[in-house]
Amino acid sequence: MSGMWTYFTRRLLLVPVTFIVITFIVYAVLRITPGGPIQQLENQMRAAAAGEAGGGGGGLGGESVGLDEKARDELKAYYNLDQPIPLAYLQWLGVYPKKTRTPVTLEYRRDDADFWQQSQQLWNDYREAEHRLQQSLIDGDLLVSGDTILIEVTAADRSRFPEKLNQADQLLAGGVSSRSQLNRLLSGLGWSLSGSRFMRPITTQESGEAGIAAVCQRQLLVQEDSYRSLQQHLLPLNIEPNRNGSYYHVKNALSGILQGDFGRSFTYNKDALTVIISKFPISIYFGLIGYLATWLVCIPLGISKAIRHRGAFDTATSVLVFLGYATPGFVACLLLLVLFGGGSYWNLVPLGGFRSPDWNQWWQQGQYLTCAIDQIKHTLVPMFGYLVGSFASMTVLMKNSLLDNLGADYVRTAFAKGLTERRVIYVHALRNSLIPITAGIGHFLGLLFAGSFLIEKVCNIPGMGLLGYESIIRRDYPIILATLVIGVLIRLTGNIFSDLIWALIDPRIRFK
Amino acid sequence: MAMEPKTNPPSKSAELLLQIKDLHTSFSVEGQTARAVDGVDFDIHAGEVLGLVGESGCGKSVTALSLLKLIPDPPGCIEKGSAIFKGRDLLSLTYDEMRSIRGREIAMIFQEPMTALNPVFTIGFQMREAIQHHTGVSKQEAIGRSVEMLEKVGLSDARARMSSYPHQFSGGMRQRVMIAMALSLEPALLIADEPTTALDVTIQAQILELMLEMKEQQQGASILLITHDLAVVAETCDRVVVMYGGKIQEVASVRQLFRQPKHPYTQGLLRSLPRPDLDRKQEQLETIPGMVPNIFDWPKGCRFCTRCPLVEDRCRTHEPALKKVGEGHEVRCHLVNDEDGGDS
Repeated sequence: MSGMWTYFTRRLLLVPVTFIVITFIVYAVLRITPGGPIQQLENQMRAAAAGEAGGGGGGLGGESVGLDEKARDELKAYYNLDQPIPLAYLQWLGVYPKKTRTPVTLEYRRDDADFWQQSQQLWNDYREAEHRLQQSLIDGDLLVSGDTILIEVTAADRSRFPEKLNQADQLLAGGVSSRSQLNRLLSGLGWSLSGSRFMRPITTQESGEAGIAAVCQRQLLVQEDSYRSLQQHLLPLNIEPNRNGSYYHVKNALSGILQGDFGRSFTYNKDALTVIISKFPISIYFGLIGYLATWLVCIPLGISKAIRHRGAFDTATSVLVFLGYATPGFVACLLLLVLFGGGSYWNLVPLGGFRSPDWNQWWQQGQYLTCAIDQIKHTLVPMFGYLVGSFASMTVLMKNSLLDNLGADYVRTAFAKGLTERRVIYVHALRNSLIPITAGIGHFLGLLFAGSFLIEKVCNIPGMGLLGYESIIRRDYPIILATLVIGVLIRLTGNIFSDLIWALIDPRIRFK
Repeated sequence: MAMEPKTNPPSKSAELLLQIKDLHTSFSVEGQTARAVDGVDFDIHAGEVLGLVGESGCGKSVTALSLLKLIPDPPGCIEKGSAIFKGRDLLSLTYDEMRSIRGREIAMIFQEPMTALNPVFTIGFQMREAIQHHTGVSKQEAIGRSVEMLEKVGLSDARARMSSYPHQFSGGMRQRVMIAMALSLEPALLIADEPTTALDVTIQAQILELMLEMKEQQQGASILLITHDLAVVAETCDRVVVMYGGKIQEVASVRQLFRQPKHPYTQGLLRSLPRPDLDRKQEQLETIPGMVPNIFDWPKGCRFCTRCPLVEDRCRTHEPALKKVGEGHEVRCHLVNDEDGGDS
């Protein structure tokens, strides 16, 4: 047994090495591949400009559209693309400090004195920055210059903006729901709206749920020029406003995947890990069901084929196997959707998705049967796709494995003992031939989490596969890399898990 | 093990245990037919050890497997013949009747002890399953019987070793387990297919001695010992059947075979044995020149004509019949005269 532990310890120690090699290669390739986030942004701008130019009679025609050099540099710095690849990799890994921007929501408990003391220094900085901002606002520095600043005001901010905020408070008491209403309110105050954020007063329910007496929350939407002047105010304090108007505290620190920081998704603007984890249950659901279906079909089929090797049944099902081998799973899904998805033929299954939009409602109303039927209908087509995808290889593996064992010497011994054919096949040979299939369970783990993006795309399942695919198209580096990290870790540990299973089910395996 | 070649061929009156007549077994491979066993007749008497000798591919293992209908079908096929065992023709038994013979009446042990035991089940499991299957005794009784058998074949600490797996045993130990397993139901006939070939020389003698010892304990049991090793034959067998090219070439008692081999093939086999007891130093061991002919296309005449040093024209065209040349001594050769002691 000690040999086994040495073996697995050694295998585990190899995991980080393999992990670093794989992630570094992918990281470097990603950085080298053209079409990064900045280029994507420029493409979008170009497309938008082209659209406008078409609509407006070609007023902007010929003018080059894109980011100026300075904006591009800023963006590069923001995405950490200004560092050389090896350094950036180390920073991503979290073993070399990088300039981190911690978003700061100015939200605190006013009645909680401890909190103030605990983070006194940071808060002093913020409060000074806030103070300067307020001064600027009240003195009219920024407003006078024609800039527009939108401040989200909460009830608790009253004391800080004594006069105008009182007015705002009165006006906002009823809540703001539409942009035009907001514009009206703001113009009454002599302010105007910029960007697309809504102003929102805190509701009593919210403050109750959060357990806080009052919330001071503000977001600044800043135009280009005022962004610069804000910067001048805030940079000496290591606080950097971004274009969305959030506060960031900037410092050099270790912040990579080792610290659990997978970065923020460019497209979802959320923590990459959070985005991925939200997709897990869906992929696991379909992966597990698909794999179970594969086992339930392929193992009995493989056994029957091996027993009737070269018989009529074997030949007939071989046609199926070849058909399955030649048909990718997603094509089978497409075919089924065309036939049964309610187009020209039958309307038996929905066109895709995880559940119907009303599912949660049905569930709350206690219509569990409806829920179950709906879930099954949504499951059938993808399950079939997964089944087709691994049908051929699994069936042939099972058949060949059993066939090999049926020809083994120990099977002849078992027959010579006078055992029944059933016992020889299902006890002696089957136990041996299931070993390679059971040991594939580690690979299956990887499959579970990864999903098949083509099937997910065709069946419109919002799972891991689709997420990975879309993030590659959008060059959403944090998501791509986070998917990679999770995938690599699952596969590496999955392989070790396979070995462990193998050692458990095959008494011959010994580790020396 | 200083066993003299046995001198007493069983008398005609000895009870006939198995009588094989005109056995033909062939294999079809890609449209061609390999006549692996091509008309074999011999008897096994109760209590005797019969050696079945020949080179690889001569059909000796196929003969044995045919008796228990263990020939994989397809591609194999027992075409005709009969094997009368205790009054019943083994070859025309139904599948279920055959199963009740296998292991219980006729047991078999194989050449490769390394692979002949199922690697994923314990020795105990494999020992007791046949006992339970045939006798329907309880698990405890079957375990008791298994332990008893393992002790008989010389396994120390037998009860503890019941829970070991085959890979935890050496080759010799595994063959002991195979013997214990085969003899646990006291079969009337034990077919041993090259039981010592895969073992170290030092272990070989132990295993052979064990087999004979076990046979002595079971009164009336016979052994069909398949081997290519004439030394093994000399030490263990009462009578010998020499096969070549799917046919029997010579049948004799051990004494007759070693003293007066009649068939040129048998003579060749004996000459190719190292003989340290002879005075003259052999520079090189003699061999039988040439190769076994293609199994898909046996020679038209005598099967041995392609390699026989004494070959004549008629050997190439006409197949010789099996001729009786003495008491219990038959030879298939044109050059041997009936009831003639001449050594061609």
